[in-house]
Amino acid sequence: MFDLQCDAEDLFSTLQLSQTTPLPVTLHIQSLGYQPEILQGTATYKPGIRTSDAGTWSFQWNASRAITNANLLPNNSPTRKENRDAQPLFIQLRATQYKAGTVVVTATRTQKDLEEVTLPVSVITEREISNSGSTRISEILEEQTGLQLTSDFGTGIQIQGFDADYTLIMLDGEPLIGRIAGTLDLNRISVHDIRQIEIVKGPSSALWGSDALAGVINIITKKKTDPMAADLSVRYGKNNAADLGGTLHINREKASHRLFLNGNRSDGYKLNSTLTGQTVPEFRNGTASYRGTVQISDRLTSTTSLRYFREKLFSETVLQINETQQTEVRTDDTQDDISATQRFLWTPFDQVETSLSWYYSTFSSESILTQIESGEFFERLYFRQTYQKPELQTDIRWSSYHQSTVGFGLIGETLSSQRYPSDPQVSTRFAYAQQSWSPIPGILEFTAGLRFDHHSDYKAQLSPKFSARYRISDRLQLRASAGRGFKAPDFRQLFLDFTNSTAGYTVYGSSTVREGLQQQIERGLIAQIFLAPEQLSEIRAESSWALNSGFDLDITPDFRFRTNLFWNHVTDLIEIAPIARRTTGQSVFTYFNLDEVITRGGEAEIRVLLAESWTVLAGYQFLDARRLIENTKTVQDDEGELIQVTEKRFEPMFNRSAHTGNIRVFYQGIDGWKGALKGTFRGRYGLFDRNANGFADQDEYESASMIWDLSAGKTIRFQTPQRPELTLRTGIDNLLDYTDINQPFYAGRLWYVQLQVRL
Amino acid sequence: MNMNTVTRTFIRTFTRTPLWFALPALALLLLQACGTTNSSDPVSNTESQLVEDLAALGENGVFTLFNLRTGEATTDSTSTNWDIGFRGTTLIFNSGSSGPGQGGVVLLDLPFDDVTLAPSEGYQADSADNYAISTGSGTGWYNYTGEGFPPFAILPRENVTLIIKTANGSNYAKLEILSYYEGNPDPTSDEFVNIQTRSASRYYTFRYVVQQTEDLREF
Repeated sequence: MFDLQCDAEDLFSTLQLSQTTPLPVTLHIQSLGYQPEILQGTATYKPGIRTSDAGTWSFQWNASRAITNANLLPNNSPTRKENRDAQPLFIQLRATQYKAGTVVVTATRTQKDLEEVTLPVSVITEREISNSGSTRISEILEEQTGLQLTSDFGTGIQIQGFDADYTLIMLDGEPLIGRIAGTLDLNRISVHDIRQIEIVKGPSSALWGSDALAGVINIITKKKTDPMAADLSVRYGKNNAADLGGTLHINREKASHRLFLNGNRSDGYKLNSTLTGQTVPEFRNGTASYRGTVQISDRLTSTTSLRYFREKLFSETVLQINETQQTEVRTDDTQDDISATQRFLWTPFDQVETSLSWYYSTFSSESILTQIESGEFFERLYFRQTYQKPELQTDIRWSSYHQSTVGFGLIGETLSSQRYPSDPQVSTRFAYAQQSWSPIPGILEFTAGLRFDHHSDYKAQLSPKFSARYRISDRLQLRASAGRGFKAPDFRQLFLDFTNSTAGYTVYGSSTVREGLQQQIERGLIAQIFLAPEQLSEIRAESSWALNSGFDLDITPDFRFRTNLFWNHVTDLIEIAPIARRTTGQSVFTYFNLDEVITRGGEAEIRVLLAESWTVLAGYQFLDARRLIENTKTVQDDEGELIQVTEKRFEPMFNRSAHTGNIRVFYQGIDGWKGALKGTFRGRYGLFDRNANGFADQDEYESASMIWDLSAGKTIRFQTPQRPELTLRTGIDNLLDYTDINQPFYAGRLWYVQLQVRL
Repeated sequence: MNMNTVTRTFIRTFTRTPLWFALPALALLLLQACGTTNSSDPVSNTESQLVEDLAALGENGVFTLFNLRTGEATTDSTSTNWDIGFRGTTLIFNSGSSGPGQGGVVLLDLPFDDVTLAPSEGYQADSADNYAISTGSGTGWYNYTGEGFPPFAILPRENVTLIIKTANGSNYAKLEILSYYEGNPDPTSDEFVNIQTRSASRYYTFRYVVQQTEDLREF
């Protein structure tokens, strides 16, 4: 059974319905990639929460095929004017780019229609993901306008000029942990189990707390309403890269279950054949995840989610210890991700929804290095992090004009790693509130939010946010938001206690520096102190103020133009600076809030539907990211005497392209043939700071690149009662074989073959 | 009388009077006021040198000592016959705890060719706790690239000039270090970037201009 819901208000006004009893319906379905179909069904009416609110009409019919991206167009119905009670209704569904009623949760922590959010939200749909042929999240995210892949202890994503550390990444609303050095490695997440990816740009700490400075990426897993649905996907390609994944959904009246399994492996690759080690090592990983929902009563639901991910990497590299010494080592890396969520959803009244959840996650990584020649053990590195979060959230829909959200919770984290001898533990208490006010429902809406985070090891944070949207006409909608975001100092910046015995320097985190420095002084290891420990002030979180504004314009119903301008001012960025000199001649460093950054720019995107089979997407972003460089120089005055001059300038940052863009063309024919051509452009960017002045000089830029991907496939639909679908696809990624040693995530030209079965 | 007669009489009178003798002296005085050298003003005598591949291997902890005034290397650290010493990345100057001289150094954040005048004061001497020029990366004369590009390289900081007061305390020199590697290789060349093919380190190439006229601070 397939369920389509639409707003009764629309239907009442266009069809002049007055009845509320069930109604026979004829559905004329015209969606992308399928022959037009006529189906019979029944529409039932469910009244609204209050008598003044419109209810919803629900249409059900006997088709087990899921229809995506279909829009209800009752105003096209030829029987509209003649419709009388008990007459069958003729409704037409027509394909559009975004399914009306695409619901997003990330913008407001509540379910809201994509068209009605006040923030710039992009949604990557399931169809887009399966058409793109990606297997990992990093690949599909990279195609989006304004998102750039970076490689720094893992493949991360850069948004609005911010490094990967500044974007919160969540799975079904719970944060993913395990950032060894700030970056969350996106290769850990398979794409098969994803229903949609919601990307919110702009600081969202008012709802989500730390790390939501540049934005939030929320990965929503699949949910099907069919009694039983299954799909299987197999992919094989160059570098012996294989991916096998499957999902099983079982929905009964009171309980539903979803199981997902995935295995992924690759030999890795070498971008430069003269190198001893590989650019991307050989790896194997597996994911298993389960979600079960039980309807305890009419008003109480329990959801349990479990996820396990394990990855093994093997590589052989030449480890350069210093200028003259090197050794060949074999590295065996093992990573384990476990997460569990238990959520109770309670609706005591129709207007009130309360969610009590408990989230537990652990991440552990272990690297064993062995010398190749002698077989001797060389080094063991380990990193183990746990994260726990009980949380209570309540949503109250006072009326169609007012909606409130209130929540609070606790976070407890522990870390165990050889560079943190004290095995630190931290905790945060947080509370948030949000109010939405629609003076004119559907047309004008304001949202204001505030969150307070109190942490055990750094100064408390208050994050406000304000956003608004105004639908000027059917075709034009304006959005604007202003808010604050913050990023908590990470474990390194708080608790590091590390001395490099070869080079002779020490680095302390802000919570370990006083004791650590005192110990070194007592042992006679300090030659000179630049800044006394008593003078060190408590470290603060990095924080930003940002403005985002833009509009969505439907030039025609099939042609949408969207734009967003942004301006971020980040302060208190944490940097390392020396505070003392050791007897070895090298320095003792700790972390300070020193830096200041301004990023600004704009992005524009078009989505066009042509001739019912073609979809064209194109996007462009302009980015100007600058960092405050403060220098004290010793120069001379007119008489040649020494004077000190302090310069303060904002200079361009590294690894940020001023111009990036993409173009994607999708074809989905009625006969089942499909194809895709995608091009991603990355403009020139500064990379190496050759003269160590802290910013990108004109001669420090790497050249621009354009990567093309091509794929083609066919879907065969069988006419048996279950209506299974078989899709065979083949493709070539990176058609022109572009490689760059500094962008190791581009593997050169890759071919693949993929088979998908859907029941 | 007509004009010609007046002129003739004027010239005859002028050339006859003692005032005539004053004219060359007057001319000299006038010319001097326009700024030509007075024989009592010091004469600038600058010498520009390029020193290549000065080995500073530091065997047995010994510094390679160099005299800027004579342009020669010496070995006796107890004399005033040297101005600057090199050992690995450490620089010493004939001053304070490093030697008996009255030398000193100041680090200027200015390009070598832009410096035309040495400051009169502010020179640092080496002390037991502190070298006048810091030995650390970024704070002294060099940057260490570590894992950057080119990797593990000692590269002289750009637009840094050392102003040196020589051991006798009366001569000034400006100095710029060009390379820490044998043969002054181009740091962007493939040969240099690859550590296996990089030339040996601890070989200094530097250029300097020394003012041989004592107490004159011009270059």
